[in-house]
Amino acid sequence: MDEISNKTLATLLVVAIVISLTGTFFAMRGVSQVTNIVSGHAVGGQGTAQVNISQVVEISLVNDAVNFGTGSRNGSVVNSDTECNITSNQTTAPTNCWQYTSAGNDNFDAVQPFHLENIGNTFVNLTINSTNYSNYFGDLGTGTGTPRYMWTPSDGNEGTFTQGENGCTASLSTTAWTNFDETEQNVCPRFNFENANDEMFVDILLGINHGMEGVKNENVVFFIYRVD
Amino acid sequence: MDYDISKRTVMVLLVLTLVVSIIGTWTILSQPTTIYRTIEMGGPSAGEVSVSISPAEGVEDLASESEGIVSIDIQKEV
Repeated sequence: MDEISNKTLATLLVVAIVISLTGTFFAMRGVSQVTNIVSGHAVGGQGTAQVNISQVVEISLVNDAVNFGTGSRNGSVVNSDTECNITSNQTTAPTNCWQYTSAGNDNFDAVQPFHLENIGNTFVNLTINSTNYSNYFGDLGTGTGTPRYMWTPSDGNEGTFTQGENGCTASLSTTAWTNFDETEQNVCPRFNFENANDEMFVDILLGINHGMEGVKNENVVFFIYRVD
Repeated sequence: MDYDISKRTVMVLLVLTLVVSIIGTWTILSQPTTIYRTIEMGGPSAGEVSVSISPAEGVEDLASESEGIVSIDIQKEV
């Protein structure tokens, strides 16, 4: 067998150079740009991204204690046939019938309503429950006034005191003082969760009759139910 | 064919081949990765994003309850 001539080798090298240059050219420009032939594409028609968000149903009692502190009826200005009404939303002490020995923070103004915030991510139905006035006070006193243990809701849009954010996106279930009656009572059927409007308040009223004495503590329970 | 080219010419071509190959490879490797013709392909023009909000686990009706307290110390009437 004859050896390959230098001329043949030179030809092969020239071919190698051409192939190398062509390959580089295609690689730099992209095959599809040069040939106008699609070199590949997705088989599926659509891509899918799925996000799962779990509902969180939760409220926070920003203020969970309505503490009226220590005080007494002022018998010199209120008759025994009249109860003395004090609320958690009075900016000044009710000097006509009640005098404070001390209040929650040694300041009458510190008596604050229940402050609720929806910290979940869904609307909720809010209800309230506590014992009735008879059980709350236990001793109803000797006067002929009307003992009271009542509540009233408020948000920035409606309510007895109209305060804070517009937490209740539907109408409040009541805007008047309402007796606790040992049953769940509706407060707001659609308590909002959006940050700018996710707060509301519940105030407390106590009607203290002549002759009542002693420390009175009672739990108030707020229930929430998921609303679709 | 009576004549042949010299070995020197063959060597020059060989060196030239190596140089072209090395330069080409270096050039390609130094390019950022690029996807061409993604628009003209006629492939997917729409995607789908689905959001699924699941009910809180174990929650059907009552979600939770929170407890507050109302307190007062009523002293003897003055």
